[in-house]
Amino acid sequence: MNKRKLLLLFFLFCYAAIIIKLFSIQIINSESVKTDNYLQTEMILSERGKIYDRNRNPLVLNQNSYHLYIEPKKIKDKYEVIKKLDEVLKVGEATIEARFDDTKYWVSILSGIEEKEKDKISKLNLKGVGFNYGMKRYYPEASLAAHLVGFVGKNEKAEDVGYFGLEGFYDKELKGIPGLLESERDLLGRPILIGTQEKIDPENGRDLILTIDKTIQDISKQSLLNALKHYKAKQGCIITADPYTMQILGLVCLPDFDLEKYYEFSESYFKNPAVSDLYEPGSIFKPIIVSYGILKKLIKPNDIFDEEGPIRIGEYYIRTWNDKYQGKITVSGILEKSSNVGMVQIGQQMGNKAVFNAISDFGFGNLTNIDVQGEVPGNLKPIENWYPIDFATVTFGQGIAVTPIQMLRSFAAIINGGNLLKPYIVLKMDSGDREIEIKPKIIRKVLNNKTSEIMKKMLHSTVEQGEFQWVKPKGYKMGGKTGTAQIPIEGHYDASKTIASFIGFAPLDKPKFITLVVLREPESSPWASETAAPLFFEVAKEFLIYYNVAPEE
Amino acid sequence: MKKYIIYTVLFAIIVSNIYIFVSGINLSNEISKYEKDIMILHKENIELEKISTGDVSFQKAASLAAELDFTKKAIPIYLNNLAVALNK
Repeated sequence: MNKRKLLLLFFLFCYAAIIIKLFSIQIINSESVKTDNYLQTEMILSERGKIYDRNRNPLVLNQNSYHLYIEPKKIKDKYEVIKKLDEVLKVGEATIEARFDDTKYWVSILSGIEEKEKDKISKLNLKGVGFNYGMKRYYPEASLAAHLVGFVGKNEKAEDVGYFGLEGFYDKELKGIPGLLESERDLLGRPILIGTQEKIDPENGRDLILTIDKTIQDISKQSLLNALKHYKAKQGCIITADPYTMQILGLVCLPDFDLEKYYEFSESYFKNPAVSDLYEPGSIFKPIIVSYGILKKLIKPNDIFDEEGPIRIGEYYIRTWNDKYQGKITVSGILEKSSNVGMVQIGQQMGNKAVFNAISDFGFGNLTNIDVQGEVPGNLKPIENWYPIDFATVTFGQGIAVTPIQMLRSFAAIINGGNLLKPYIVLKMDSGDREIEIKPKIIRKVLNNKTSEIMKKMLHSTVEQGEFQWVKPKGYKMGGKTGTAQIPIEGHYDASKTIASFIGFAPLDKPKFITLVVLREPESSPWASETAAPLFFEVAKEFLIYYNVAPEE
Repeated sequence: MKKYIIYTVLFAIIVSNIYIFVSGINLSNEISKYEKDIMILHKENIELEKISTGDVSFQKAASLAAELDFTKKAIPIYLNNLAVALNK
C-alpha cells in the first residue's frame, strides 16, 4: 500500500467517523438534542426599579422567582408527576391537572414560585418538568403603603405591567429596557466563538426615592387602623405633607389591600381614596373662603357679623351645627365656633363672584397632577349654573366635591405664605450613574404673606378654643380646623351619616407638617371634634416626637 | 530539503489549527461557566438583599416586639408636664 492510499484511507476513516456521529446525534438520540439552541436569540430581562422611602429604606425590591412548565410528551406517568408537584406547591392536584394538556409539547403550570420550592422540585428529578427564571416584587414592609405603591400584574402578552399608584404612574421608568442576546451555540449550549455573538445589555429600570417617610407612614397606618376600630368608621385616610414643598410624607387610606395577594381583592380596593374619591369637605373648607376674602379686602379679621338665628336662602334655612347662636361674632369667632350662618354672611359680603374665584384660585375642579395613577379633578360647574343656595352652602364646604389631596394642597397654601404647590411623591429617580431630583413646583401664588400669617393665627385660635382640649398635646402651638360634612343620599342629606375630618399643622411658626385626617361614617359619634380631631392630635403628638420638636410653652 | 519544509509547514498548520480549536472550546467553556456564575451571583445578591432588608424592617421589629412582649412596655413617655422637670 503506497502512501497515497494510506492517506485516502485515513481521510475516509475520519469522514466515516463524522457521519456515524452525526447519525447518532440526529437520528438515534435526536430527542436529547436541543436543535433550537444553534442560533440562540433571547431577550435579557431588565431588572425592575426598586422603590425606597426618603431615607433610602426599601419599600419595594425584587426577589427571585421561577415559572414552572412541563413538557407532556416527555412525561410517562402523568399522575405521579402531578402528585409530586402538588406535595411541594400545595395548589391542589386538580389545579395542576386542569393545566396539564397531553396534546401539547410545552405547558405553563405556575408562575411566582420561590427559590425554596424550586429547589425541592428540582431534587425530585422529574423528567419533563422545568423552570424559567424571572423576578417578582418583594415588599419588606408588607402593605405599609399599598395604595401609594400599586402592584405589578401582567398584560395580555404576559409581560409585567405596573397598575395603580406609583407602579402604574412610573411604569416606563421602573421597567427599563430589555437587552438582546444573539449567540451561535454548540450542542452543549456553549458559544461558538467564530460564529455570531451579539449582546445588547439590558438597561435596568430606575429606582424611585420617595418623599414618603417610612416612620410617618407607619405611625399614620397604625393610628388609622386603631381609629377605624375605635370610632367604627367605614373608611379613613391620613395624609401628611411638608406645607412648604408639598412633598407627601405619609399617605394612608384604609381599608387597603395585600400587595402580595392583590389578585384576591376586587378593583374597588385598588383605588386610592386620597386622589380618586370625591367628598364634601364641610367646615374645613371655611378658611379657604375667609382667606380669599381677607386677601381681596372684602372682609377684615375684626369685622363683626350678626348671628342671630337661622338664615334664609330662598326656600332653605341654614342653621349652625348645634342650632345655638352667638349674636355678635367676629370672623375669627366664626371659624372658632364653626358657624355656618356666619360663613353665609361672609359669603354674601364677599359676593358670589369672589366666592367662586376663591374656589377656582385654590385649584378645586382641576387635577393637582400628583404623581400617582387615578387622580380625579372633581367637578366645578361654571358660575352661570350656580343657584343662590350653592353660593351659600359652599362657604361652609357643602355642595362641593373635592379630593382629600386638593384639600390638603389648598390648606398648605394658606399656611405657607400663599403658594399653591404641586404635590409630589417621587423625590429622586436613580439610574445608577445619574440621579434626577424633582424640585417643588409653585403653580401660583394665591395669598400674600400677611394674609397667610393672619390665617395661621386664626387657625391657632380655632384649636385653642376647640372642644377637643383633652386630646391636644400640651405645650405645643398648633393650628387646624374640624369639618363634619353630611353625606348626600338620594337628593337629601342624612344627618346620621357624616364624613368627619380634621386638618392641622404644627408647630405654629414654621410648620414641619400639615396633616389631613378623614373618617367616613364614624358610628361612635358623627362629629369631627370627637373622632377626627382626637385622631389628628394622636398622630401629631407622635410626629412632633419623631421630628424632635420641643414644647414651646 | 524543500519537501521537509512543506511537511514542517503542514504539520505546524495542523497543530496550530488543533490548538485554536481546543482553545476555542476551552474559552467557550469558560464563557458558559462565567455566565452561570454571574447568574448565580445575581440570584444570591437578590436573596441576600431580601434577607438583610427583611431583618431591619418594621414588620420584623413588630414581630420581635410581640414575641418579647415589648408592645405595652415601649409606649413613649410624653413630656406633658415640663414645668415639674424644669422646677418652675
